[in-house]
Amino acid sequence: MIHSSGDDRLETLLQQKLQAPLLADDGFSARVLAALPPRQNPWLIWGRIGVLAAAALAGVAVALWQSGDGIGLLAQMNRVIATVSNELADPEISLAFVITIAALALVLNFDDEAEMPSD
Amino acid sequence: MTPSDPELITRAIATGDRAAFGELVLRHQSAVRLFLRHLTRGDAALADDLAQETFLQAHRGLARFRGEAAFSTWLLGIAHNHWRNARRRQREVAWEPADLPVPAENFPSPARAVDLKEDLGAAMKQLDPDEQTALHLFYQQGLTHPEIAAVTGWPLGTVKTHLARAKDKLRPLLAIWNPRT
Repeated sequence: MIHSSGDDRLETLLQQKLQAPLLADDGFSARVLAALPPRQNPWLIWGRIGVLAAAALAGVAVALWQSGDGIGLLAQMNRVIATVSNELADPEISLAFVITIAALALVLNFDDEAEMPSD
Repeated sequence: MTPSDPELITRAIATGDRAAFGELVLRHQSAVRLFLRHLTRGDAALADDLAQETFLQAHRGLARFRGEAAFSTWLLGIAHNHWRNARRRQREVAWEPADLPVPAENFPSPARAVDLKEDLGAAMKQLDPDEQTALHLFYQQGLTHPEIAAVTGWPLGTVKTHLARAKDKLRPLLAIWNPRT
């Protein structure tokens, strides 16, 4: 029998017989590379940022034009901010707000984080 | 000179070099696919699907690899997570009785003059799945105890316990192969 004195024998046996064979690639790497997402064109990214910036500027311009002057617009914005601040001062609404944001963050990040171990 | 894994990773992150990532896949595909074949109990098609998902996930998260562990260990960890998720989904569909261990009375089989490797394979089936995984990672993948803990998410003590228990169970099962008896 393989007893405690035969631990070395069992160890040798496991090391010899459990040696992993190398699996031939057989096109596996090529399939992985083919399945990679298409590379993002940097010009496309800057183009999107440009469109967003232009849209934001256009929005500000329209708001200024509607209010007649910048001071009226600022006063209106202050009123909106004050209203939102008052609402958030209510602990129950604050809690609901925090839970919603946390849930959204969790859902948006869940897939990647769940699969990714720390190294 | 052959570039190291960290060099290839740096190239893949910095310049989006797909050839560098392809070289990493080529280097580590065997270990990842073998590990997944072990976990899926030899289902090569499922193992390869999970292996592909593993490498795609690794590609997406490459920037998050800090280099504190070996790249292969990190990959095996991702593979293990993918398999766990796949198994969870499978369990919701059906339970596979084929996963049950072979009854003890069927083993050992000296009368049939089976080869040592076959007996070892049959003996391995007597072990709990986690014990088998610990043995696979230790002997077949050559990982250390802390690396196995990192891949599986088990505490270090659990890794040592699984290995010790596995060997305790294998010792009597492989007794006929000891030349001294």
